[in-house]
Amino acid sequence: MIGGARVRRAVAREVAVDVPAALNLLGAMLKYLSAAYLLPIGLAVGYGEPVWPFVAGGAVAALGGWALEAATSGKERVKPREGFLVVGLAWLVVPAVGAIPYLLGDEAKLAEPINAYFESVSGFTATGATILDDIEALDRSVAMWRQFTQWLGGMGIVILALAVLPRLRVGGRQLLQAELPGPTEIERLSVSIRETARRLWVLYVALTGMLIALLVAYGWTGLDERMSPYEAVAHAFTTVAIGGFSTQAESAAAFGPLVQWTMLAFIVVAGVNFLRLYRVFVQREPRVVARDEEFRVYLLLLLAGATILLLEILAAGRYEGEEAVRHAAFQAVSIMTTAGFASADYVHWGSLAAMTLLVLMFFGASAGSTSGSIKVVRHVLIGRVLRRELDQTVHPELIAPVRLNHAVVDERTLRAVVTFVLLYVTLFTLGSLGLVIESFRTQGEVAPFEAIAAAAATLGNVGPAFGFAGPFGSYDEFSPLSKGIMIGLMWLGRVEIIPVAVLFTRAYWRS
Amino acid sequence: MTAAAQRWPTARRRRGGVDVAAAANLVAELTTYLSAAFALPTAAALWYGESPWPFAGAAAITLAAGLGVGRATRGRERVGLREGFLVVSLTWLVAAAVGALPYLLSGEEQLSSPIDAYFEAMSGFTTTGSSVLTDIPDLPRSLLLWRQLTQWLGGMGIIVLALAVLPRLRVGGRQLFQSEAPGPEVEPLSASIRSTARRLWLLYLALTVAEVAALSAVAVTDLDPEMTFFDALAHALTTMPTGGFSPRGRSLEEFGAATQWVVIAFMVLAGANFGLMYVALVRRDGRALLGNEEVRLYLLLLALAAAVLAVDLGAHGVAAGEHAVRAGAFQAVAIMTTTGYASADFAVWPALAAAVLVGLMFVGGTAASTAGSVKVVRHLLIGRILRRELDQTVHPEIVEPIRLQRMPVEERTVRAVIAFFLLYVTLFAAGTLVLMFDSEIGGLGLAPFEAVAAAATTLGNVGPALGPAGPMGSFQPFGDASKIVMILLMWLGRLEIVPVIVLFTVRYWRK
Repeated sequence: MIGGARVRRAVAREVAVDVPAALNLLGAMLKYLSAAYLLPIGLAVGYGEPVWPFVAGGAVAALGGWALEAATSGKERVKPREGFLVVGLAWLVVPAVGAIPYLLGDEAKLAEPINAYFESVSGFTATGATILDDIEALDRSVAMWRQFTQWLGGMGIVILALAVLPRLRVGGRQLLQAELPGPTEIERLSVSIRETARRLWVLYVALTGMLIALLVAYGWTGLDERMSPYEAVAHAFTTVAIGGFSTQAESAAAFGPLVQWTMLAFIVVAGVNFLRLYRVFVQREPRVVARDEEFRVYLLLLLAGATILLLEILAAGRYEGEEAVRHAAFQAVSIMTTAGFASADYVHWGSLAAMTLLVLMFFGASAGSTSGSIKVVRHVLIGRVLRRELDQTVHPELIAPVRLNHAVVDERTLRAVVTFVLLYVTLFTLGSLGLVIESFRTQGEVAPFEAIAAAAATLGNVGPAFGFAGPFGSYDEFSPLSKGIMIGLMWLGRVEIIPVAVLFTRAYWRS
Repeated sequence: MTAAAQRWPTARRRRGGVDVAAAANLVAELTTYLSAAFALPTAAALWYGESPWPFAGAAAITLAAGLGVGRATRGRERVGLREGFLVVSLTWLVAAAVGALPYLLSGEEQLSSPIDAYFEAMSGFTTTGSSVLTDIPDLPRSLLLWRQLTQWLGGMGIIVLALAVLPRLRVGGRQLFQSEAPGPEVEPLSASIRSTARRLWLLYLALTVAEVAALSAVAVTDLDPEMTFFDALAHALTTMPTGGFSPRGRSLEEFGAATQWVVIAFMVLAGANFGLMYVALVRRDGRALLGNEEVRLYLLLLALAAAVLAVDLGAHGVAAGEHAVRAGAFQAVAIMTTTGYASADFAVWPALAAAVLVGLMFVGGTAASTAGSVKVVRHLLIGRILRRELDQTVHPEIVEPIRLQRMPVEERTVRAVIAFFLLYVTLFAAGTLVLMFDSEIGGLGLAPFEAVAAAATTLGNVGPALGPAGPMGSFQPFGDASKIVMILLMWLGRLEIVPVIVLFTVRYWRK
């Protein structure tokens, strides 16, 4: 007994990360995930579709979760150090379990493991890239599960972005720490997660409920005949999660202008910092948002993106009047916030539109939202950092802190922001190159620009890219290894790179 | 109190921070020297029986302007660091204007538009190598020689810029090389320029002469029947400055294997560290050069890129055996060192090669060379910075300096390196968008990836792009707005962005 304890202590000294504790939390997540299978099971029973794929998925999630928890019981204390591991693993393991219904379902394409995993990762990371080219042929229960994975992913992202990453000081997210509910630092990660979840999930669910109600109303009043309650729920799920999956092959283009404008409005709202939304809707302080610098730049960028697209569309004579404005606004909003819905096949728009959309993929929405990519606040801070550097080049004696919303931003935070952006650019470059090399190896037909767009769209959790992977196309033509690369990019992009990158450093595992 | 400070009238110093007259005086002096450079093309014109008047006229105009401005600003010869930003920015603008004079005065059809002439001259003095000419051999030989000479003169300017001026101005982390630049810190800018120039211009001249000799030897021994003494001189003048202009219509493709291998060797030297080469030559000890971390990484990247290209070309059957190796090595070296010669039309190479070449445009040679782009040492430092940030994310208490050659690098320098890189990426993205915009309006029909390549090649001072502006093509089809944008990109890229941008900040002009 004594010998055993000594060995255990020695191991603990060597590896400073409490792996069992991380696995314990992962087990809890899987247990919750199993409950999520109730929705598609209910639908499958209702529509008379095969139920057992979902039952199997739910069973694996429940058993796996229970087994992990049982094996690591007494290790429930997850500290920030284990947070990196939990975050990294969560977005790998949860999609794996979420892919089970695809694997066991009728759709031949999804039955291939790499495709099923791609679709599931794209779901849980709220990306919206798909390997399906005939979405409408899916069973309704499977199609809804696909939508639901994004909504669940979105719940995870709210926690990740507002409770976990700020504690881990990832990419300068410590900025948000001051605004977080509850005390910081010594507090256990699980406590702050619970606290954030309680407050912000209400908001998330309320937004979804509002959108469902609106869309259902359009269907019932005959404003948009195609909007059935089923479609309303399906699209509300992926709109609020800024995901982009649709049950329609033509995405949002399958619906009328009113639905598109409504979705557009909700994407814009979902792209606002949830902490700010909480204060507006729950604490009724709307001025807090209006004064927020990130919010202002966010709106400005959306406006600028929409204007450039509008000019392009009008100059080329593609659409006119309200239609032109709607498509320009919808596409700018959908791509910049990283939702990825399409109201038109922008692949056939001109090169300028393609380039504009590609650039927008690097912005993202607010840092406290479910959007992906770099996020607006980081662009704001980088702009100010560069401005200061220029001033300091001329006046080396100048000491000027960078400010955000009038508060001084810590130098450490600034460095973390810069690091994140550099890592993002590096990964994007490597990803693009990887896709081009793989396309060369397999004699694929991927042009350099398409590879760049696919890398940007997956790393930024946007969804559709250009070429055959455009909004009405699919990622199926990519080779298995390319799909693997893009699964990696979606995963890394979603967890903001650093939690995964640190796992590969020796410093992480040592005390 | 230094002598410089005493000679400045105190009243004027209080009124404004920047002594514009002193800056203008120095630029005028440099312009006056430049008029002497017209002697070579004048002599060539007389020798070949061509009209010497374009050069004589240009020399007269240059001399008059230089002396005139010099006289108007007499008594203001003392340039401080603050004026340095203005001087370097103006120098390349004015030099390009002087360089364009013979093009305009010659009445050549291809260069009759002032924008075209200015583009060609800016491409020369920034040692870029992009050309608006569509039929190069059609020009008189004297004018071709002047075109080559602009790059050689630009290279002389760059050596001083990179090793004496920019380190003093603390641009883009160049203060790293302050210790390598000759002379103590207190030395006035003009004195340190003079001492750097004296030593390194000698090396530059020696290397150029060596290349003329090597290429002449290739010609005399009949290893390459295409090579003439004129070609030997012309290409030596644009290899050492990593320029890339060629008097031949199809660049180096017209020459044989021997010539191409000689040029590869000299391009590698041109992209290597001039300061260390000088030390190695003077002390007859190559260890200083090969023990340098940047030089090693530089050679490694060249070898890697050459290998990838050779394999790609071999696999696609574009070339085989020695030809594939040579074509791969030549293009990798020519693009990465930002020279921009071509031994084959890489615009029609497969997608992987195109992507690799565009990627190489962002690497550049070593920081103490005539190469453009980001430079190898900055990539090296950014890699180490990211590594440290990851370690510090997990262990916030770690304090470890970034090291280069085992010496700690100051944090200020580290920040400047990052700021430079971010500015570079931003300018590249902005440039690409504007090119795309103009192409769409002007109906040029540029593909997105071609716009990417055009922006990368001009900002990186490389030369050829892809598509119509490929190595055997021309930048002629671009609209005037696009040409102006690319002129700006060449200018900004060459000066490492910061000196130009600070001129647009309010702080620069204030005390």
